[in-house]
Amino acid sequence: MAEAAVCTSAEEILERYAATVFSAAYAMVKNRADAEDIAQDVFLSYVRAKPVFESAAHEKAWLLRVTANRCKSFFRSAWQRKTTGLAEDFPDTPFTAAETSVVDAVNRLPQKYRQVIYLYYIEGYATGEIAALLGMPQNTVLSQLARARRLLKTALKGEFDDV
Amino acid sequence: MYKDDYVSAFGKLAPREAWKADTLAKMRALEARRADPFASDAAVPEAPDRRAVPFAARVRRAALPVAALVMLAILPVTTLRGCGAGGGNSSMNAAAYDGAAPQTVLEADNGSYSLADAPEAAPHDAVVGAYDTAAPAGEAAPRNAVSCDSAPCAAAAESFAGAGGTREKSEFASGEKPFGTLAAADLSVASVRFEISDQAALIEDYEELAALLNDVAVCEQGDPDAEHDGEGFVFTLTFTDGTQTEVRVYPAFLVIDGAGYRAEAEACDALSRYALRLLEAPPARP
Repeated sequence: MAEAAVCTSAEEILERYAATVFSAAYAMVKNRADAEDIAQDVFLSYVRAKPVFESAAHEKAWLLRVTANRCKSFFRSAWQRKTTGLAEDFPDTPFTAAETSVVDAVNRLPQKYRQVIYLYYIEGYATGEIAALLGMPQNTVLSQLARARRLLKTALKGEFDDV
Repeated sequence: MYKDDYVSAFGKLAPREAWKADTLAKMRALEARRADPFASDAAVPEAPDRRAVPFAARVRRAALPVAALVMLAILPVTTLRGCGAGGGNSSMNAAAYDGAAPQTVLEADNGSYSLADAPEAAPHDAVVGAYDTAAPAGEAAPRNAVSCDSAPCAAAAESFAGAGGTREKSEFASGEKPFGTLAAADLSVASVRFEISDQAALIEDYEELAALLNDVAVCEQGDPDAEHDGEGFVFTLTFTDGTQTEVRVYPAFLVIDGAGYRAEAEACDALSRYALRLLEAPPARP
């Protein structure tokens, strides 16, 4: 399958990556309003920086990296809103009970585990790619992933992933 | 497996359409302003910068245009008299001053120096040229500097040359000191805050700030969004002519008005320690 081309306009990048950036931010900050603020900030950063990308994968990785940095800054600030939960944040979206409980369980993990879980399972990055994206050793990513799975196994009373 | 539920739940998440429309509008506005920096559209989202400056600083900032307008009425006459008393070396005649003053008044009428938007208009002035539309006092100073021997005229010209030379540039070469010529007298208001949070402090000792900024040397340019880690300190500097510069300080990295530079770690650390000291014990506000 041919790889998607790099976006050339604001409309295009927003259309293609709005959901990705928003859900990445939501996975980390656990709050819809904060996630929207961060995602908007990421897209405005894109306009300010006007980075040149080699490929669509590079483009997506840049946006996710900026999102992760913004979320890190967010957690150091005093302006975090209260976490409300999936059903309250998305009242019009029909989630199953299993979906709600597993997302709540993941949301109770520390932020560093949540971002690794998100990038590994939702975005489908390999541990080496996550390490490059977050600027940390691959072994750290592997150990964080393993600890996150162990914590989820306890919380959910079952394996999160049977790898 | 639970991971399937997790993946399917995130597959349902999407931002609101209203958010997308709002974001797109802001992106377009920002693009338009970057394409045409002289456009008068002030609706581009620079809200964090406005929020960073405390109310007292805004009042002090507004005082500058008012003082400039008052000086506009007085300075041409007094300067003309001063040049005449100095021996009549000035080639500027009364007609030339008459020509200069209405032009500046017209700019003031256009809103450049109104109370509400003077700081936002100021960066445009800096790009156009330090003397073309700078504060009314600066309007007279360079002209006098050519032909007037009086000490106040020369001093004014030197001061504006030092400050304008720093702020006209938007990019700096490796090894350059962006604030190498900055003097405490060039600053009218300075504040510092933590990035994102609203914890801010007004800076009152411009000498120390200027000395620290003088030492900052930049290396090559870097991505202002991706090449630094952690929270930085944001210095908002308002100069005596109303122009404003924002300097974000990170470990070994600086962002000057949105442009990122790798920088000497020692100078950045010194600025960070200075910011932290001010924020932990903010000085008494006037």
